[in-house]
This record gives sequence, C-alpha cells and structure tokens, in this order.
Amino acid sequence: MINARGPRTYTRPVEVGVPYGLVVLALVASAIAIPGFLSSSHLSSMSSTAAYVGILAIGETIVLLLGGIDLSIPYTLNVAAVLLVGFQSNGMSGWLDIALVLLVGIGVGVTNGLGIAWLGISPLVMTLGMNSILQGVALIYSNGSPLGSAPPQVTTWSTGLMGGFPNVVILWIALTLVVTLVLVFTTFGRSIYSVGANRVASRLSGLPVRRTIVVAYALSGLSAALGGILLTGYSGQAYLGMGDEYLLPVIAVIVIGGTSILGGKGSYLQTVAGALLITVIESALVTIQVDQAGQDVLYGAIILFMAYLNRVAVSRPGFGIPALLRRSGGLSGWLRPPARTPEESMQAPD
Amino acid sequence: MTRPTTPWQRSFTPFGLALLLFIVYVLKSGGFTSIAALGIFNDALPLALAAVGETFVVLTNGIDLSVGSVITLSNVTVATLAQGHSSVLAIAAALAIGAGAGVLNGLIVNYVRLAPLIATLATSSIFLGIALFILPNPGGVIPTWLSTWTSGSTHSIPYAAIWLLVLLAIGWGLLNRTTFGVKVRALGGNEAASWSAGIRVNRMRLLAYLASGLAASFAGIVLAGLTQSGDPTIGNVYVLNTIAAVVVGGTSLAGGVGTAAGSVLGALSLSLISAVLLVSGLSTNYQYVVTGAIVIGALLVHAAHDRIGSRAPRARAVTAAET
Repeated sequence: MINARGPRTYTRPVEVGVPYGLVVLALVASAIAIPGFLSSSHLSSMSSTAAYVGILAIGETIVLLLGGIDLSIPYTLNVAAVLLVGFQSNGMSGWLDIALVLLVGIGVGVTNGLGIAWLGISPLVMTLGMNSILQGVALIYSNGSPLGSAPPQVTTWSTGLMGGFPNVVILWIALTLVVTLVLVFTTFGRSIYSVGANRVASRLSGLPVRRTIVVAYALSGLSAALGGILLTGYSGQAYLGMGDEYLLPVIAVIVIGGTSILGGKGSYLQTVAGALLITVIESALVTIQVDQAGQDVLYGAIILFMAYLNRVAVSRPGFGIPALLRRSGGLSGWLRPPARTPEESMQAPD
Repeated sequence: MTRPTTPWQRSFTPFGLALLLFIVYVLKSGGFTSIAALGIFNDALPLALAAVGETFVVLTNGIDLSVGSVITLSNVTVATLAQGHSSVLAIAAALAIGAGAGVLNGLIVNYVRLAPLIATLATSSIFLGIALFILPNPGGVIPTWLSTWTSGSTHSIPYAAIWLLVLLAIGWGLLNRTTFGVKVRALGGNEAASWSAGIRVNRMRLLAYLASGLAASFAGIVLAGLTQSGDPTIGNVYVLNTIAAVVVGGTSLAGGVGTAAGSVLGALSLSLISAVLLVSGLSTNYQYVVTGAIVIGALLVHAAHDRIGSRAPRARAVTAAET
C-alpha cells in the first residue's frame, strides 16, 4: 500500500550524509597510508564483508526503529545454517531447503513478536530467552557437530561474481533498495517509525501496533536466517557458535550509522554507511597489523564517538561547523554535557 | 504507575523456582551430597556476584552489558599480577580496575548521556581489548589460598555457599538499610520525581555502575580461584547469563523494582538447571532450551503477579494501553 500523501521522510539528508562522508574520509585516509588499499580485489573483498553484516542488520534496524531490540540474531543465524546443511545432507533439493530455512527464520521472528506484542514481555528478555532456546535447538539438532555442506545455489550467491561484482554485494544493493522503499513509501514502513516514536499515540491513531511489531520481528528473523544461509555458503559448512561474533557488529553498525536505539529515528541507508565505515576501518587496522586487543579498544571507541556525534550534533536541526559549535557550547562544550532543555529536565532520559 | 508488590514479594518466584529445582534434583539423584553442593554453589557464586551488581544498574532503569568484559579484565589482572607480585596487591588491583570500569560507564551514561545499552556495549569492547592486551592466551598463576577459599569447603559446607550468604546480606543491606539503596530504587521508579525530591540522581547512578563494576571484578577474582588460571575468554558467557539471573530474580528491566536476594536465587536457579539435567540423564544440550524457557516464563509469572496484586484500577488501564 502506497501512502496517499506521497513520500515523506523523517530522516534529514545530513543524517545520511555524515556517515557516508566519514566512509569517504576513511577510504581516502587509508588509500594514502596503505598502498593498494583501493585495488579492485581489496574493494571487492571489503564490500563482501560489509554485505554480510549489512544484510544481518536489516531486521535489527527495523526492530530498533520500532523501539525494540532483537538479541536472538546469533542463534537464529546458527539454527538457519545448521538446518540448511542438515536438510541438504538428507537429500532435500536446494531451493526447497532454502525456502524452508527462511520460513523457520520467519517463525522464530513471529514467536518473538507475539511474545512481545501480545504477552507484553520485554523485547530484551524475550529475544534473550529465544536465543538460548535456539542455541539448544542448534545443539540438539546437530548433536554438537553439524555435518553436510551448503547447497550449490547458496555457494554461488556467497562466493560467485557477476560482471566483476560479488553476487552477495549485488544482493545487498537490491535489498537496500527494497528496504528503503518499504520504510519510506509504504504504510507499514511509516507505521514502524510511528510506533517507535510513540507507541501509545500510534495505537490511539488507529495503527495496528501489535501487528506491526510482529511483522517487524518476523523480518528480523528472516534477515538473520538469510544471513545464516549466506554465511554457510561463504564458509561452505555450518558450525556451532558461528553467529556469536555478529551480535555486537550488527548493533554497532546501526548505532554508528546514527539510528537511535530508542526508536523512531534513523534509516537503513545509515546502517549501510555504518557497515561500510566499520569494514573500511577494520580492514585498515588489520593491514597495518594492529592486534586483536587494539582492534577491540578502537572498536569500542568508535562506537562511543559516533554515538556521541550523532546525539549531540548530527541528529539535530541546523548542521554546519558554526551551528555545531554553538549547539555544543563552543569547543570547551565538547567536554561538558550538553545543556538540557527544560523539557528534557522534566522527563527521565531514555 | 503504582507498583503493587512489595520488593520482597518479588523474590517469591525465584525462591519457589530454586526450591522446586532443588526438590527435583534430590528426587532424581536420591540425595544431596557435599560434592554435588560444591559443584552447584561453585557454579552459582560468580554468576550471583555479577547479578547482584547488575541489579543495582537495572534498578536505575539502566543496563550494564560490560560485566562480562570486566569479569575477564579482573580475572586476567589477578592471574598476571600474582606472578612476581604479592597476591593481595593483585586482587586490590583487579578490584580497583573493576571499580574504575564501573565509574567510566557511569560517567558516560551520566554526562555523555548515551543510552546505557550503547555505552556499556562500547566500553565492553574496550575492556575486552585491554584484557587481551594484558593476557592474550590463557595462563598465569593463581595463589593457592585463593583457590582454597573459593573452591574448598569446611565441614562439608562449600565456602562458595558461605560467600553467597555474605553476598546476600551485603546486597540486602545496601538496598534496604542504606539511603543509597532507597535512592537508587527511587531513581529507577521515577527519575524526575527523585530529582525534584532532592536526590542527586547522577551521583546515585554513578554509584550503581560502580557497584556493578566492583561486583563483576569480584566475580572475575572468584573465577580465577575456581579455575586456577586466567583466561581472556572467561567472561563471554556471563553477559547474557547475568541479565537472565537478574530477570529470573524478579528485578524489573523498567527499573525501580527488584531485590538482591532475587538475583542470588536467580543465579542459583540457573546453576541448578544444569545440575538437574545432569542427574536426569538428559544431554546438557537441553540446558539452553530449559534456561531460555524459564527466563521467559519467569517474566510472565512476575507480570501476572503484578497484575493480580494491583489494587489501582487506573494503573491497570495505563498498563493495558501501553501493551
């Protein structure tokens, strides 16, 4: 359904522009410091890395925009991977296998959504509990060591090239287009923002709040399952714990892009920029041989800095160096907490 | 919104759960040996420590996702410094680092005013990086007395059980017999009202994060004693388990309502689950499924408890509108 009023966006250009500007800055700086950084093979490998995180972050972006959170991504991903190779070794045809696994992902998401929307369970606890249950399911189904390999179609998606571009990147671009159009132009997309901004007002305005929540979590389950399928295709097999390392990056790229975890503010395009930015920086750090310890510290520092930048400067009206300095109370103001508006003082933050 | 249940009523559910699991355990295994008690209490102690600390933060309507990394950081600090230095110095350093980590979290939440989830997720990565820098691979030396005092037992009573009781007393005392505890709960219940009533909300929040960091570093030290080595991956599983223990223990993630006793019992319940599954002959693979179901189920029971106990019709109307 197309919104009768035509396109309206709650996301201002600057909020999207700043993270992309930083991506360009990081690319230029890395290219100057590291010879061969912009070679086509390196660009292609970096964009593939970003694509996996980016695709996994589709559902989490939607859920965060809605004011929720999905912590069940790691084992939704893992269950999808384990089932994919399991079904395949039972002789199931590739396409049916993929379709079933995606359905399982949707099922997980719908269960999360029902628990959150109808039973009123806090999203954090519901998805945390679900993650634990799915971890058990993955262990029990695979008995500790998943056997089998990915269907050939999946391997082609993950590792193949089309006209010099990795297939997974092309898929990511297509998905980005679809997700952005859905979020901006459809009633469902607008409902997500509305529910995230004010759930009670949305309900009083007649929006199907609970249905929107269930669909959003279903999409999160779907994108996690898709990510699991693609990662299985990438490594050729499934293993337990393969999703554990993705929860932090998925939330990190969304925050770095500037989407608010409190809901109602942000866009998937910003998440894409976040994924690109963190991939470029990580790749540069690995190339100049920063060890794991240093990478972890910088990773945390980048999240803090970007979250601060987005909160203080970017996501407020009027952007530019003078406005930025004025709003943050001059250079010294960067070291002080920003002044609270009277409204902010009246209500508890977050 | 009025909160119908008194804080101590909130710990009924975890108490009942722990008791139920204990009875099932005794029925299945045909008794309760001191060896079994040792296993269960040793398992529960580090989790309970982290959970009691986390309770303070959750009470302020925040969340601390850095407990796992602080556990790791203090664990590797003890294991590294105990070589060549006095073991007391190593432990003091670990506690100081834990307190410092908590203060850093509190400062970021208070003054940079980032959402606690994001702030502690980011610092978690930083603390883990520092831990990896200190001790990249498992190893290090743990003083023998620390192992004795954590994994040993006296007159068939595990030291861990005694520490749990001490922890219970300290947690109860801090929350119920100090103004700090009352203020922390008030802050979580309604920050604006607390501020108007003259509570220094930022200072209380800072102290809550400090308590969480300090408790997590105690957990890391205890783990060093239990495993007799330092391990830069040891804290990973504790992040989500700590929150699970707090939630099972009846502390509301919306802040303001909860008890330290509940969190201790929640941690005890989680370690009883694996013990029960073990004596039932079920594969420990089922542990995750049961744990997840119990966490979700416990929250439903707490919610039902609140709804039944509610005497204020208006409060019920608001709840219904929001869900």
